[in-house]
Amino acid sequence: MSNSKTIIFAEDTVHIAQLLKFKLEKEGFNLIHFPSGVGVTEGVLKYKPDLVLLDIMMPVKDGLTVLKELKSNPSIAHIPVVLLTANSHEEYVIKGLQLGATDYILKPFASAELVLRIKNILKMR
Amino acid sequence: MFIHLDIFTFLALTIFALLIITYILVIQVVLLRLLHGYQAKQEQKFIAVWEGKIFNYLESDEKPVTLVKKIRRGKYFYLLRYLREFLLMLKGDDFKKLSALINETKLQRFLLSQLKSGSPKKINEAAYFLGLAKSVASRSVLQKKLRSQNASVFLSSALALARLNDIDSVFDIFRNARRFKFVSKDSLLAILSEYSNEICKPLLLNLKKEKNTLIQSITITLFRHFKFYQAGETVLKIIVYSQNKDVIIESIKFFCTIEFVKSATALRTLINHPKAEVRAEVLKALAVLGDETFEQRIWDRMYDPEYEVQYNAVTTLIKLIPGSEEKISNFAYGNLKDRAAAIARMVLSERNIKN
Repeated sequence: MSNSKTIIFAEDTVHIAQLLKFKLEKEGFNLIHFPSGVGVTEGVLKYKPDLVLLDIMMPVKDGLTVLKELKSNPSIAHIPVVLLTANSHEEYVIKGLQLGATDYILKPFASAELVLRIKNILKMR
Repeated sequence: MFIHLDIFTFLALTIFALLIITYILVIQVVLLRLLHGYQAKQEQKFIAVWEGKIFNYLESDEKPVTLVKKIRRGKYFYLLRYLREFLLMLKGDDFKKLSALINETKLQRFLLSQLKSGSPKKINEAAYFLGLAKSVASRSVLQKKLRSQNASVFLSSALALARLNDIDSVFDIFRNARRFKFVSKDSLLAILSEYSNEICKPLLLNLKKEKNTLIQSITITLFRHFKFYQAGETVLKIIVYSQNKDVIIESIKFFCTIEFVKSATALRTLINHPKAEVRAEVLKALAVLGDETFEQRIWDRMYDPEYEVQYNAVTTLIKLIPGSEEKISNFAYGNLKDRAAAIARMVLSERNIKN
């Protein structure tokens, strides 16, 4: 995997965000973290990442709102988006996929699986 | 004059005493805030030091005992609170390694001693973390705690046993829950839904002989939560004779979730149930489980005395019967003074806005 791949991820649970950052950076990705959905679209426009990882349930601005913004902007709509959501909110996954998300991961999740899915998505592009 | 002086003295003394009390309270609040701030800082320092160590431990072959032995007893709860989110949100190897920090170290001994203490606060904290870490060693103590007279101890022990997926305790949880008036159906459901779907088989066996309507209702809600299709036939038998509104409504929702088409016959009768909530739920379910043979019955419900039933009748007709939207539109705008037509107009406007 090339070291130049950049991932923007939005996750409000601080420790989980730290762990994901640790795991993904170890795999050679550049990580840009947002603690909520606020500023993510602007971040994507600015950094043009290779992938966006979005937690659905976040304060102030949720993941689905961000996803809608990303997919409605033609200059960034092609960037794959992976959703992270709690098992109990499975219904949001369908909505997310309808809105154009590439994949989803349900919490509780195995970080190894998440890394593999991200690698696969990036490999297929 | 003499009396006036006394009153003034009394007032002065009272004000002085109140000032002293206020002063003590303010000092106490300030001290508590300082203490809380100090503890928060200590916890942040602890995390700053230990986060990297824990992440490295996840990637290495380091034994959990080696890592935890470096932590002093006074800081156990810093580690436990730090692990909390991970234990809730991770599975697989990460979960195994992180839960081993509790289950295979002196932390487990510490928590078990807290669990055996007489303090409900300590018991609740210990039960919470032992449950999160799925500590099998705590099972027998937790089972005993289900018989506690303290409701919070009962609830925290039940939750821990559910997280441990201790199927043997399910009926003990039901039995003991009845002792507490304020242990609600929702709190029991929240606890029992922490079990895996393995809970469904024993619940199904029990449902066949269960007479308590609260347990029936909770059981059927859990079947819905786990999408336990095998319970369809048994629940269908219950809905036919049940007089309990909750049991009927939960059964209908369950049929809808598992798309149990066989239940349509029962719904045909229940569409005229005396309770409006049941009629409204039947109509909602018919959008999934019904067919065109229900059309006239659903039209009839548009004249139901209850608003929610009328509303559901219109939405179900639109979803269920192809081309019905035009028919409803003609009805809605051709009968301007009719109440059912007014509701139909409202549903149609809502659909237009959504589209």
